[in-house]
Amino acid sequence: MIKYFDGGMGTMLNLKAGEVPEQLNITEPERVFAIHKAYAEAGADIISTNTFGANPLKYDNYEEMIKAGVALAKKAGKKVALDIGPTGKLLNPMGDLAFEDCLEAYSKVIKAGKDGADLVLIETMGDTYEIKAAVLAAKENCDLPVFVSMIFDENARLLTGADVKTACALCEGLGVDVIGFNCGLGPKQMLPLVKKLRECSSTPITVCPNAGLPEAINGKTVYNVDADEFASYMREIAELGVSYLGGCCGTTPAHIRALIDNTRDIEANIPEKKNKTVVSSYSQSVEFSDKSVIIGERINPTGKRLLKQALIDGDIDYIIREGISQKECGAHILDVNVGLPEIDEPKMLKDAVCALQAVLSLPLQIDSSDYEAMEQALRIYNGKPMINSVNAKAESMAKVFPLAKKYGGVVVCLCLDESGIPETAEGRIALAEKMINEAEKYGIDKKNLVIDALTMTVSTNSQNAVETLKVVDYCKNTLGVHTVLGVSNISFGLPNRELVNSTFFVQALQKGLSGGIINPKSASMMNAYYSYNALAGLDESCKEYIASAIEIKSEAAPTGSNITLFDAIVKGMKEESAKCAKELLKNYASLEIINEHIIPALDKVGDGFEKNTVFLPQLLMSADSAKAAFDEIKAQMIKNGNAQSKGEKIIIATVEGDIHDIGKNIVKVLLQNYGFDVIDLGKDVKCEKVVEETIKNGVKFVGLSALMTTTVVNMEKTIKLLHEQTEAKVFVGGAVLTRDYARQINADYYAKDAMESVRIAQEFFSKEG
Amino acid sequence: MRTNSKTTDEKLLALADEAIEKVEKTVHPKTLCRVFDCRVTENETEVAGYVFKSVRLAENLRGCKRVALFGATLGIECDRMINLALADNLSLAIALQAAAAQKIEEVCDALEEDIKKQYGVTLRKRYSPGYFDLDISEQKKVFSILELTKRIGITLTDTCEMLPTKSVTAFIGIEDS
Repeated sequence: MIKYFDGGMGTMLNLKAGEVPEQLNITEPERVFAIHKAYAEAGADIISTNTFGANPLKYDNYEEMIKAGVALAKKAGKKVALDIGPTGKLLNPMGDLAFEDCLEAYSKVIKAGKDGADLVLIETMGDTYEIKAAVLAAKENCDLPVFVSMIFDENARLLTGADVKTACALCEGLGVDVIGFNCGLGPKQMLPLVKKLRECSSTPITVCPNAGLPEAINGKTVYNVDADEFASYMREIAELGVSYLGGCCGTTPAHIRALIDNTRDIEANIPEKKNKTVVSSYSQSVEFSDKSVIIGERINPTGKRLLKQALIDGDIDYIIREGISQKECGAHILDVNVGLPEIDEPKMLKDAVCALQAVLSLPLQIDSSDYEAMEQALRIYNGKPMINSVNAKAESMAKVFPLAKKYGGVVVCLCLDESGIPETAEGRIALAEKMINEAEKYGIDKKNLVIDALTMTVSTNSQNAVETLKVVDYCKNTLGVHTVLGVSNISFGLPNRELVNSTFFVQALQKGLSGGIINPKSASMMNAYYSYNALAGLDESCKEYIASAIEIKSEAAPTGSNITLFDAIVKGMKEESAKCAKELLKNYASLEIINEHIIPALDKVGDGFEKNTVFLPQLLMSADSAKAAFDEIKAQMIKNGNAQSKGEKIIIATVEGDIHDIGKNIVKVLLQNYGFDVIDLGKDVKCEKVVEETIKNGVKFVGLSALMTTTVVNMEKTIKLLHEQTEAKVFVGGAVLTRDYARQINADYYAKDAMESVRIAQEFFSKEG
Repeated sequence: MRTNSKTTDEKLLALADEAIEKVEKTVHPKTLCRVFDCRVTENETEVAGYVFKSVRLAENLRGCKRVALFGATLGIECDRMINLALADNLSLAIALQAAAAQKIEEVCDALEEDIKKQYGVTLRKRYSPGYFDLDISEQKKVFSILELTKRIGITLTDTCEMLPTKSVTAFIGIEDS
């Protein structure tokens, strides 16, 4: 039997300007109850509480609102859904609400409302990240069934970009009990969405459309679909196969009554179980299929000195650039491993995942042997990740499977146990089966496992490739599980490693390998991949292969320019700067190159900027070019094992409450170019945090940025605290500031633009020294 | 992105072109506009039951019996694109910033053209919370009236900045002929 939700509450309440609907639970309970009663009498099975916006982030008396709301809904004598809506804030890092704070707020809501409710209804959600926070809060604080209902636009996308398949992957990974849609669209527009959901979901479906689309008639909002029209479209939806139906904005008890009358003869229908292996990011999903996926392995410090140094320096931008370049080379998923004994791995993994998912839409593979790090990263990951890895050791399975179950994910299962890696295929297959069976005990279906048969070098045992491939074959064709493989180990100890690797890769693809953990920047590996796909009939008209072949040709074209480093920087030519720096490093010391070539070039450009002959974009192109040259110098120093001398420390931050940071970032790059060691605290930085970091790092010079009249007060506060508690001097900048105002708020220096920041810093430290 | 408007620097022009093209390709602007009756006095404007205290807004709307209230945004993908550029290409990042700022203005202009066509009226200059003495905190009322968060996904920070960053709300006085 299809179960029926009630209809719209907000639209039924006929709110006056400024009235808070949830507050009415306390001040005018009869007004709210009348609506609950009307829906109950219309035949609704479930009444949702009038608590959509009741959240500690919005109202201090949220608890009172929720308890009153639950009591009122209960009075109607039907099942009660604890109704939870979005917080109204955008989550970090694009927004100003931290994921953990959002989760905390939802936890409080759940605790306030769970007694008396029969289910938790998380509705009108437009952001996968917020969905995750709400679902985790529900799962951690109560045992009630969890429904997630989402608002999609006419392009079948969530606000933050996810399509139906991506949102479904996230929800099913989190173990949501019912998934569906509400609001935003009328029933006619929701039909195609329901079809899409049925194609990917194995979970019961709920649908609560608006009564059509809102129109403004005489200044009032009117929804243009009446009860009968609503009911007839809802019948079409019911016939597709759903479990719950109801209405949202603009619907009335009449709509619900008509809906029930028109669909009560249709059976509820849960979509059939899907066996797809899917991972997702905030906006896109990647499915394992006959065509193998490329998992980029470059974000892993093993054997990579530059990345190691970047991790130790906390240089997150470096990690992002590695992610970008792998994406551009064709990676579908990115492995993220920051395991280094010298650093705080849990923190760094979290930071790396947050930074990557802020700007890249590729799903990530969380890679760590530190369970703490793994859990923290899984918790804040925006989507359904790959989890690297679990193995057949009892401890590993006991630690990793519960995490996978709670947070969702596709787990990479390594065929090794307490006795090591079995030599034979049979031995490894036995371990694979062991892990599959154990996972099932945790409620993890084998569609959410991928087997890594492990690659050992043929130079120590000539059968190694054969055995690995046997496992891949067996898993794919007999066990019905997907496989991944890191191939580069196969050639360890042999000459022409690339050739052996790419040949082995093709062999594995032939056996049905589902995912290759490789270096996407390796032309030979990607060539092998694209040509295999073309030959295996997985590349329509050989389109991808042809596109990839053209790229390789253009890369080989040599450039023979005779430009100097000075000119390359002045002209803002990034690649040429890097090349020139590399050349110069053969014969000259780093310091000489910096002082004789790079700094003079920057000075020339900076001079032009101050004289208004050179403008900001050109200044930045030069800054980017200088940075490219610096990167070459730095790389050389690391290769030679030289310690880098750090410049004077400067802290910069955008003040509390302000989320603009482009200007600050420009200042950062310029200061770095001139040799300063810049600690960037980011944006919306609490006043106390600036002071804390200044003291902790022994910093004497602090830069603050603010863009708005409303946030510059926090700049004043920060300056006051810094002057009271430290010896540091403060320089300020930002669109809202003037020299006068800077003086008023007791700033020590005012920088009208990025170049002036550099001059001030140079002046300050020369006086100091 | 301040530059000499007669610049012939090829790299600069190419950068601007690249930024404009990327913005066009990536952003999905969303707008929401509603027309209300309004009551305008010396220093107050009443719309949809909310009162906005501001002399300058009242001046802007003087004589209007109706006002259009709208919200427009380039969406979150635009912010993501700019942040991505910040990681490795600073000059592109500010070019994108400038192109996006230009784009949202164009979206607002287009919206005004639509209103003019649909209602056959002339319009006053658009006026946003934060201008002069219309305090930026009045944004909250605009958001309540238009339900901007739910309908087109603009949110307000505690300090009343809008997110995504390329978002605009405004009053547009309607001059009935």
